[in-house]
Amino acid sequence: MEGPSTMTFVYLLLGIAIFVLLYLMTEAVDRA
Amino acid sequence: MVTYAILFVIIIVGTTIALSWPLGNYMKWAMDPESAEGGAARFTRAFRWIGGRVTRVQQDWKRYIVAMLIFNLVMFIVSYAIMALQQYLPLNPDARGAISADLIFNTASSFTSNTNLQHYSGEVSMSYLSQLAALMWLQFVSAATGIAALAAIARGLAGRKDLGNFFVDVQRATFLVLLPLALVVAILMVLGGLPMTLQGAAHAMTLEGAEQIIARGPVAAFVAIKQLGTNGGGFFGPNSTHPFENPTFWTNALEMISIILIPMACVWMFGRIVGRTRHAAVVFAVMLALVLIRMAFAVGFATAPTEAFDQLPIAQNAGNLEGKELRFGATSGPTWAVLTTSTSNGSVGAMHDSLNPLVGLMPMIGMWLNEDLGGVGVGMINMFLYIVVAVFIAGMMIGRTPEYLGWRVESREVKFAIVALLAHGLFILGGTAIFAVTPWGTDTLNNVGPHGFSEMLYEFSSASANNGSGFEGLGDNTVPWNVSTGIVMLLARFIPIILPLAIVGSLMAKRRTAESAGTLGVEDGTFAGMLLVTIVIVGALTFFPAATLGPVAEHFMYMVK
Repeated sequence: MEGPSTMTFVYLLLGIAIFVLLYLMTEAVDRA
Repeated sequence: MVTYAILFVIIIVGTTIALSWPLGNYMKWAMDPESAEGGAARFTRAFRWIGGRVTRVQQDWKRYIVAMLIFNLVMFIVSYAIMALQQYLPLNPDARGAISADLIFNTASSFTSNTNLQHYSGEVSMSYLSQLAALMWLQFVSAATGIAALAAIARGLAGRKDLGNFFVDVQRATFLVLLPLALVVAILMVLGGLPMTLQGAAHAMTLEGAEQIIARGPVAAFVAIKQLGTNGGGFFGPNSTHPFENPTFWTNALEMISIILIPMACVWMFGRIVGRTRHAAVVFAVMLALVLIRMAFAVGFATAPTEAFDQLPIAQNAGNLEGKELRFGATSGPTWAVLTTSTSNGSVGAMHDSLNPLVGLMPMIGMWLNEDLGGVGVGMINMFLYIVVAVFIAGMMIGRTPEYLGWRVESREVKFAIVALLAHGLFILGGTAIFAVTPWGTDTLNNVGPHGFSEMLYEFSSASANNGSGFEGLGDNTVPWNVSTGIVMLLARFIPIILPLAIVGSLMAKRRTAESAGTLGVEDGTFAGMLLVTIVIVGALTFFPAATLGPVAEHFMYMVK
């Protein structure tokens, strides 16, 4: 059976990056 | 035909309104216990015991958001991992294989954000473990996130010192609200004929001697929370048009009631927590007016004879039956389309691609406005954004200090509200514009011209409104669609939760003033009218040009000769 590819990890990192972006937005809003 | 439709709508909407009031009171009891004693408080103690130290601290708006983001990130990673590894994991009787990475990203984003946009067919792509442990689990906790956020905002507006604790709230919403309701609805669904089994697909021999493989599974449990949690993701690809997801008139009615029940109850819960039930009734009336207006237009446009059909050998008085479930008639599909987009549900009871152009416009308007009932919890939160803007505009118009429930609304709060509202428009229109001029979009269309434009506009509307319904007619399981709508779904889910919580935090930092004769009233018809006008004007200014390029142009090109 085919296992997870490199792209599986790339897209997982993309998802994590969006949550980090949302956290940074929260910080920016707090300072605004 | 029209009489039947009106009667059907009265039964569905009337029953749900009647049920929403006691449910709203129950949700207030569950989500915001008044005393440290009693049944709800005992549950709170149990949730704190289960959750440990992080559940025992009270959170301000920022800590509440951080807790929500961490919780949802963990959910995203776990569900992503289950789908990525489903071929190695148990509960896979039909040996489902690997899913492409971009589709996993899209699906995990979709279910984490309570959208349930599906670029796959569950019965051919997902193992039972993926369906239950990844997708159905997210259907519970993503809906619980919305209810928790609304409870926190209401506590802030009620003048509490802090907003509560996200981890406790999400447990309250999951175990005290969603799970009991889902159990009741799932049992009714099983009685209505939905399958509920962990056995693999059934193999049957047809009269002609061919083998037929009939997909089945734990459908009833999945459909119950799919509808109650405004999730909308179907167990099967055709969603609620599939006879195993929606076999009879009664399951059709029950599912429609389930779609709008909790969003309606959330308004009453909000009113009870802030202590302003009359204000909640005004908001409820505005939401209901928007739903009923859209529904009237949808049913009207679906049944009205058109010049385009005049030359065809069809009975015009039956309405447009293409893409409809003939079991339920021509009006059930448009009615469902309006209900599913008046909340952020997104399940479908007809092929939206086959709706007459102006009927297809109605679900789009629902997703553009995104608060005529709205998603579980977040519908009322979106309405709060419009209320902030309406209060500000009304205050400026009549020369009074803009205030909402005794809180002074100033430029900072209005800026946050406007950014949240405009982000929705930006995601939809920006995304559609890019895909309309690149092969990312044009190569995936089944139709050219205005209808093709509508297909792309609908897809981004559905993603940004966290609705999840599909217009279809679009080859959407491609890398550009999966990645772009995946990003949009996550951003469009959390920005309109983060900014309202920030608004409440900003208001809480001020001194609350007692309401006087000079305060702008929010419990009367004038305010309801102001709120309605604000919603319509903001929505029309943002989306009317796009509507004219899609459904309106198509109507004049093909339906009127």
